[in-house]
Amino acid sequence: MTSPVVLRTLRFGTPLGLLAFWWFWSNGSESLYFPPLSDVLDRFVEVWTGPAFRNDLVPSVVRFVVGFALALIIAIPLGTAFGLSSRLRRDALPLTEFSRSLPVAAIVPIPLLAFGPGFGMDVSLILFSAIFPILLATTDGVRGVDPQAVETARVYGLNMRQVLREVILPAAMPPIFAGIRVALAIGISAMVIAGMLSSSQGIGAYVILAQQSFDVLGTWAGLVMIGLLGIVINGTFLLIQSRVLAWHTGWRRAAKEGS
Amino acid sequence: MALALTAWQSLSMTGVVSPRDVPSFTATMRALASDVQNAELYTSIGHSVSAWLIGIAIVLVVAVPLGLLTALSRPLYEAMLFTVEGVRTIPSIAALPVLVFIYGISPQLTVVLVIFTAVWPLLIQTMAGAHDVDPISIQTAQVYGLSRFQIFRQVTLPSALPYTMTGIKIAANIGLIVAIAASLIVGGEGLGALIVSAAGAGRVDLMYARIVVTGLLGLGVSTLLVLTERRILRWHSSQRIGR
Amino acid sequence: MSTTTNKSGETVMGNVDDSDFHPIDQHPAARERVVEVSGLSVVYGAGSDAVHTLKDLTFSVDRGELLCIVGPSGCGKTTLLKSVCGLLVPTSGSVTVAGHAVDGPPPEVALVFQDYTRSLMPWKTVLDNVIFPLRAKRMSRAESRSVGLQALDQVGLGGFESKYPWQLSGGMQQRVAIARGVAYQPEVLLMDEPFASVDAQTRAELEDLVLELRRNLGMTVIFVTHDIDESVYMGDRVIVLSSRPTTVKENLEVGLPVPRDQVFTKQEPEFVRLRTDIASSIRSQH
Repeated sequence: MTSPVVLRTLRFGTPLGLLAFWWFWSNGSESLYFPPLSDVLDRFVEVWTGPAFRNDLVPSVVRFVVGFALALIIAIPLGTAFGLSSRLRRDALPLTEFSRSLPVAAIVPIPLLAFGPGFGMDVSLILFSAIFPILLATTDGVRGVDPQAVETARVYGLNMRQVLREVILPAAMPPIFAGIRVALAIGISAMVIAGMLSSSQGIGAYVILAQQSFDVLGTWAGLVMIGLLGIVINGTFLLIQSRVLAWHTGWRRAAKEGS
Repeated sequence: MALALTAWQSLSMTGVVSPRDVPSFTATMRALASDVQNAELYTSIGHSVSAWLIGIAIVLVVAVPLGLLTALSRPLYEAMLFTVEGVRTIPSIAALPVLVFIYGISPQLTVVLVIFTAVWPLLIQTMAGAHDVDPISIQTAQVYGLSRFQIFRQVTLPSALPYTMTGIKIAANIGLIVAIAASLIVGGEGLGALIVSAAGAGRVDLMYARIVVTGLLGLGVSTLLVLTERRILRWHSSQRIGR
Repeated sequence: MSTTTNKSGETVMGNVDDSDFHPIDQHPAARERVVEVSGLSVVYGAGSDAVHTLKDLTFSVDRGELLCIVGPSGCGKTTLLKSVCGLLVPTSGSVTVAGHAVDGPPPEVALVFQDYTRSLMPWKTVLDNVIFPLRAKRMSRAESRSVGLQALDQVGLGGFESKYPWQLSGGMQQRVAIARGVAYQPEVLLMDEPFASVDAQTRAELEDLVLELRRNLGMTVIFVTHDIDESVYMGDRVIVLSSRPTTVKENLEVGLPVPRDQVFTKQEPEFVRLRTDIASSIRSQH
């Protein structure tokens, strides 16, 4: 067996090592498209402390937050209703299945025409792309709640509202969080795609305009910012998840060791 | 479903939304009927689908063996875990502008974008599957004197298969999304470019018709994947009736 | 001491035959029926596919009595309990609890399931698992907390209130489920094979715990089990069910002295006789 120290070094060291490799490999690079990482970082700081911060980064983040919050507000109650009612599920499933398999990119022209480039278009796109993973995960999560947990609560006199709050939603939380994580990834992509297509405002617009004007360093600076956004958003999510689902981690571990 | 279609139709007929923005269902279907006789539609689908297929094939060949290998080598697993988890949080579509510098607007561009998108979920799922094997199963195999390789083949592989199938489904679905997104954003040949050209020509009905085609393509692909999964995983409890 | 004296002090025949289903009838003043099941039938499906799970079941339970229901596996014991606690609407017949016809979970009834891993909520602490029914009834946080802590004390889990159920052993988890039943202060506590998934030693401890709780709190208990020894050891009376379609096959008074003892009670000739009777009664159905 390899020692734990070596394993931990590998776990944290490999990503850092790859970054270091990139830094030294690109250092003094003459390649047109792979500029030295140090130059990219210089430009990164220059761009995102400049007007692009207010004109592109802030709008993107605001639209993402609004669109994603709307997706949560709509998808979780709707998914719960789907999970509880097999009739509703049967009636609405073909539509959700079709809408879900619509590639986000394909529907971009619809909000572009309806709202024009800007806030409405970006928010509706992020909403549309993030809503289905959450909706389906909530539906499955609510359906999958152990009927015995519900029966227990009912025998002990809880009414339907209380059963929902005390039993069904907490039990469905782990799958719902899994759905939210998928939705986050798609939502961030939608945010970028929306900007790239409307080319008006937002971080996606910034990179595509930099690319079209052959500003290689600017394109890289945009890419690094998008990557950073992805990591920050996911990190925040994992932090919230570890708080909310602390019981789930322990429970899973106990179940594994017990068997 | 029928209700939604009726709602769509009445919405545009009663003028709640302008038919210039949202054509009626019947108008969309008329446009679709004329478009299916258009050879350009099929070549565009062909471009998108072939780039997607090539990309996914490469991803399968790379990610599945690599993911499974982590079951045999703990150092490899540790080295890959955080790296892969970190890289996959970066939306691959962000790489599109840089890829345009390198490959130009070409089929290779789409293939590479599909690979960059699809490789991470498949790798993560396969790694998770390779490490979520019931220790009792492995111990049983050890007690009965199976070699390390035999254990890998007879215990680890079948246990990891459901995870890998889930990974393939996710990878194929998002791979198709970016394959279409690529031509939508940067142009070239493909279903995305076709949607843009309809929009550019002011043919909103045609644009909607092509979006419907794209949706049907996506639906067809995911249905096909679910059916394949069911065939391959017939023995697995997740495929049994009632769940 | 007499081996044929039950807890009320009256001498009874060990084996009460079918014509004498309700020996209580002779003492209307002394006994009050808390649960009455009459003509209960449950049929799943319809037509040629119909499965008669329960067929014309009739029995009653007195206040303060511990009634054991024993029968072969798959005989519809759980279906019967679900009808009593209002989770299942019977095809015909009726169930009355504390004078009210059951048409939904009655407030006088609590239930302890066999599978504690499924009836305890893994996201709630031990105390929250015990008191969430009280909180749902708008009992204040402070009051429900003190009731819950007392119940946990009574089942021997004082000090474990802020743990999660999955941090405890199987036997302790089932104690939490029992504490929940006790804290709810029901008139009737239903137990559905509560000790079927714990080891033999724990099982004996839990059996004695239930007997002690019931003696101290004067609860009425309906205890369903597939274990013949357990039914005789626990019960004031044992009802034997037949396999499908399930009917009441025997109704036996248990004339064993109280308090029962895991070693000595099981050596009593009465104990041996009853378990033999029940075993042969169950076996003769096949």
